[in-house]
Amino acid sequence: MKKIIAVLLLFTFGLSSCEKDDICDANTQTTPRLVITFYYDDNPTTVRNVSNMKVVGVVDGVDQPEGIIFNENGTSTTRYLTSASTVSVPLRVDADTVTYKFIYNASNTAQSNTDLLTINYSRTNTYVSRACGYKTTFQLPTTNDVVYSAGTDGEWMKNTEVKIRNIETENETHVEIFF
Amino acid sequence: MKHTLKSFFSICLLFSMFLAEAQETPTVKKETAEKKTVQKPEANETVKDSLVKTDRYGLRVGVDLFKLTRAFYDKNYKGIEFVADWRLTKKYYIAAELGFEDKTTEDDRLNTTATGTYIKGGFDYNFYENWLDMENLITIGLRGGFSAFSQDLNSYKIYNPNPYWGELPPVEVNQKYNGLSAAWLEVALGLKAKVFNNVFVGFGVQLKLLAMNNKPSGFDNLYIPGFNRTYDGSFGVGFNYTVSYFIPIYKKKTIVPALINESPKK
Repeated sequence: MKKIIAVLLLFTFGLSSCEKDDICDANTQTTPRLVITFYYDDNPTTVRNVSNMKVVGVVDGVDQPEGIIFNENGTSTTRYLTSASTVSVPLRVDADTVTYKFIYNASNTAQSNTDLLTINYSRTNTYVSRACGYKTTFQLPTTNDVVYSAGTDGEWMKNTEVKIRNIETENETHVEIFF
Repeated sequence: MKHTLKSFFSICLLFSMFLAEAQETPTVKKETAEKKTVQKPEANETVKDSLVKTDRYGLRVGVDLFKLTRAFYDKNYKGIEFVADWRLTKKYYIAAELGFEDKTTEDDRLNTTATGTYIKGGFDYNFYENWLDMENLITIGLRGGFSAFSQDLNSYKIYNPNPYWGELPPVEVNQKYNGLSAAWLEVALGLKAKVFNNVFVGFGVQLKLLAMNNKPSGFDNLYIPGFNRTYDGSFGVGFNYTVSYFIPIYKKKTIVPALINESPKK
């Protein structure tokens, strides 16, 4: 009888360490961002780095007060800039469309060039877990999916291509932009 | 939940104290046995020294006060549990619980309501050695549990690790999932003390292991009536505080050898 109780006590101690399902684990696949990779327009298999690009959301023609943060440790200006070949932008979970301003060479106002990129999609909410709640996944339509347009200046983007229409993870490139 | 665990540990502690006591008794018995063999030549004496103890057998029915009173201070909970046991032999009892629960769980990201009934059946083994005509119990038992319930998803939040567009308010859905069921095994530790006449007060803790869990498609069973909150694994815990009434039905006499055996002839 004593043995049984000892086992039961062990059981409970084990149990108390199993209670960690209240915090959503960062490795859990939740709402994904749209992953965009840049390529050379004249050499579409080679990735191309952008130069000090800033990405700012636009709602009804009005810019969001802040750009997307690409560099957490940067200063108030450099944290919004990226010079990588891939960027991940969040899609809105409360609307079926999102518009971003892609400002090329944003650090240099004389040379900067702004293009607008609008992404249209449909949304699905799926249950994940008690701690994470639900996630939203996105589906890009076959027409009118990703639309780019020149801002007040000329276009720097030349072409876009959708690689993956079901946006469920951030592991692969969904949209390719050629410039 | 922390509260339940806390009380569980304190009860375990309580049990361990009784354990020490339970260990003492057999040695006393052995002594008696030894002394009995010594006394054997005077057979007439031993019979006189023996004590006749009557054990009462019957049905004990009760209610879980913890569940019943919880509705007064927890607006998210309504529940009741009836408990019953039938004394089968000196040590073994057939035991069963029948209950209903309606619980709203407010998690950070989910708000759900589980409503349903459950039944649990099994046995209890009383390992407490009572003195004379005392009828207290310290039991360890096994139960099988089954629950039929429904779950209401009231609202949820979307988890977005990159809230550039701001955190969204909870999405109200009021989606009802009917016809859910679950089955589990549980190890029950219990303590019942006779407070007066046939009235018993008892505490119990249960460790549960989920064996069958019929989940709705695209969702999870976050709370199962009778099983309580579910965890990532299949374990669960429970607690009850019962008041029960014993209905005596028949009596059995057992002969207990008496401890008094100093030879009076000296």
